[in-house]
Amino acid sequence: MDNSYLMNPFIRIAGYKSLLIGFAGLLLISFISYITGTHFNGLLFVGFAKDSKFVYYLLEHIIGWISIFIFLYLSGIILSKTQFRLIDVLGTSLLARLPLIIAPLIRLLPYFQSFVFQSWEMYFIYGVYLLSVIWTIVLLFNAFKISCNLKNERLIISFAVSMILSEITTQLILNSITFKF
Amino acid sequence: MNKNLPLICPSCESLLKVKQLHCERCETEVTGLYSLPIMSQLAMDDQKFILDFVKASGSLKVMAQNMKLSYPTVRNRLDDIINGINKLERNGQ
Repeated sequence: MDNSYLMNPFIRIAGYKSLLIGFAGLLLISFISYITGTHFNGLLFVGFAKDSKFVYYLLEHIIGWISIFIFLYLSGIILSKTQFRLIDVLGTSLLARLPLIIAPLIRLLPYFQSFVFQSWEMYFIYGVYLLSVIWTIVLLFNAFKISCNLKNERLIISFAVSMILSEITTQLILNSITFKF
Repeated sequence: MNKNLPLICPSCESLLKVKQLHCERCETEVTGLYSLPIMSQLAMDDQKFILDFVKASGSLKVMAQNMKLSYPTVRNRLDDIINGINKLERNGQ
């Protein structure tokens, strides 16, 4: 399971390759989010509204990515005993966000393009989103583990702290720029 | 058939030492008590990794290409081997 492409592609893909694939994915997710009006306010909150320019959907993903990258990279600098590369943390943390495309993709289907509040369609999308977030977190964990070569409690605690700080930072930044779009 | 050099005692799990060496040509036998070199104490996979690493002129990038693995995966493997060597050196002192 750990070595599979689905849960840990970073055994084979890292560095510039992961950055390029991840960036193509980021553009695609942002575009489909824009078409379907799917907002990502950090990893924990998803919203549905066609109320912004494309650049805002793009910024939601870029801020979420850069924010987690900064905290994971700092954790690595403080805790890792190996000389890891910035490009590996940058690229793998971006590639790890690819599962977030699933919920916007499903919203491309006519049945899910608009739905009533608290309808089964809404709960289905939330369920799919929750699964994609869990998948993303597993990928981020493996990306961090391989890029910075951390193990045991150092890995688990620093990852959890980085995730929480990144989520708070992303929310704060997005809330402060929402009115501009 | 390639036979693996046994490193650990099957009875008490201590590190084995060399007691006897033999010349196949003249049948000379040397008896003593010799510690295995650190390289020989490593697992076969680790020994192969080190040989491949030297053949790749010490380039992790080339190693990663040859092994079809990512750079940090190969670097982490090297880190694990270095930690293993340090542990063996500490135990040997």
